[in-house]
Amino acid sequence: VSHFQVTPGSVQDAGSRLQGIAGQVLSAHGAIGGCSGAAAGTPGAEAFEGLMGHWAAVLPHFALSGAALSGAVGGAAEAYSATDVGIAVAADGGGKR
Amino acid sequence: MIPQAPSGDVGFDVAGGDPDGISAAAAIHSDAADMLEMHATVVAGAASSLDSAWQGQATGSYQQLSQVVHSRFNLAASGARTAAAGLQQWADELSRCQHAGKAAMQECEHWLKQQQHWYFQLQDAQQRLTNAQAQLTAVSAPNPFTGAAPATPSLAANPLSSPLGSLSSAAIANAKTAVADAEHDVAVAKAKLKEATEQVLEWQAKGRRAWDDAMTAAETATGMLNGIRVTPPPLAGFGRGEPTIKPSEPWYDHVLDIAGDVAGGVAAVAGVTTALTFWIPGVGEVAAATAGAAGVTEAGVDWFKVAVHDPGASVSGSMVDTVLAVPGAAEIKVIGDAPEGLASLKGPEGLTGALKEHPVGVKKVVSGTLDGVAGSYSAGATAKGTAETLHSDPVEVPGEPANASPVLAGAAGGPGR
Repeated sequence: VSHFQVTPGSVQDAGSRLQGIAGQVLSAHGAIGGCSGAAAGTPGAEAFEGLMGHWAAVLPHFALSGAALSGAVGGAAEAYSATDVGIAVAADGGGKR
Repeated sequence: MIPQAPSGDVGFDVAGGDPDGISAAAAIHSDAADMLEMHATVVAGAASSLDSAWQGQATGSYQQLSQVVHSRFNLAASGARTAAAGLQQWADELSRCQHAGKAAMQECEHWLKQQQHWYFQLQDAQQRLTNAQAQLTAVSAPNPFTGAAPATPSLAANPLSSPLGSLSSAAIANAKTAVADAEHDVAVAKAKLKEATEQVLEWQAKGRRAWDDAMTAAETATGMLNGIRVTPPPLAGFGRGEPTIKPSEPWYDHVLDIAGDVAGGVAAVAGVTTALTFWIPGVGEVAAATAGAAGVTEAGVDWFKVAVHDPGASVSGSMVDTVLAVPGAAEIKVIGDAPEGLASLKGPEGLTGALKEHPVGVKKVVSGTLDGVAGSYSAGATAKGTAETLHSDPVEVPGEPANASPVLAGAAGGPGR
């Protein structure tokens, strides 16, 4: 990479917005898990439980994906901020010398 | 002709199931659809806002990943929306059918009682008619001693002319009245029985129609539910050296408790309640994502055992009680003496192994690809043999991860156990 340009504050904002995904997806995961058994006693019970199982298997991935995006952006923002600070400190130090 | 005695059985059932529960499930799916759509928008919005604020190679990867995640969230929302609509329709129809069935059942029971009542009334009336007719015949017969015919009622008008005749004509008149009364009762009972029988048949037909409609609604719902397949988004950040995701959820302490038991020390680097990622010094990053409880139960120098429980998970149509997801894992090794416990899993990315009853351990991990399927070729190799034993489909082997390091990639090609 020969060139990059970052506004760390904006990146941090984006990371914050992504932060809520995991928790809410997991809440939905719990709520959907609570539906289990709702179709008991009907011929559609097996298909219903199949769908519940499917959600149970995939929703954590959605949560994890949200957490990972948020973490990636948050981590990048932190790293870039640290770089900014490092450069500023170095520049100040250079100026003093 | 006297009809057969009524059986007293309504001859149909009211459809079972809990329409309120199904309706609640529909509402939850609708909420989930809203939530997934909202997060799709959040993901797209975040990517868009980063467009100008973040430029360079990393942002390109991020934007690409973000697009896929956005699209998967939208597709999942669409699946949840379809499920919500289908479930609500099913709940409404089931509720209608149950109401109709119960009403039919109630009416049917009422008319069955009527049918039984009038059946016995008819039998009684017919018996009385038979008796009355016999009586009439008896009193109308000639006098066996004199051979004289009984006096007719007109002759009996003058009691002085023939006292015996007047008695006999009164008996005939009484017998005739009894016959007429019995005939009337028979006619009434027949009419009532006919009406009750017709009502029973009508309500039985309605009850059976309600049952059939409920079965049709369930079949329609089954087709709809079976048609919903959601592909989860790829998992970013696995197998990428130092952790970049900071723990921020309450589960973190719990994870640390679990991790505290792991020899060599484990630091949780990412994850959520049921999706855990661990970094093991000297081993690498390992993630287990599943729907149920997950935890590290044992650990060795270069492996640890993750036991996860997902009673709802389905592998190749069969129920399994444990699913292990190890994005980035090069090799999944069965711990213990039950290698037959390992089955293949044709599931979403990141889910690379499935177990019937036994935990598995991760022997080694390598750097994985972003979508978390890296290393599944090795897991597949392990799973293949056992999948054949279990008669399930083997894991599809996508090939070696592009970014696996040469040393570890070589290790990943080894036998599964």
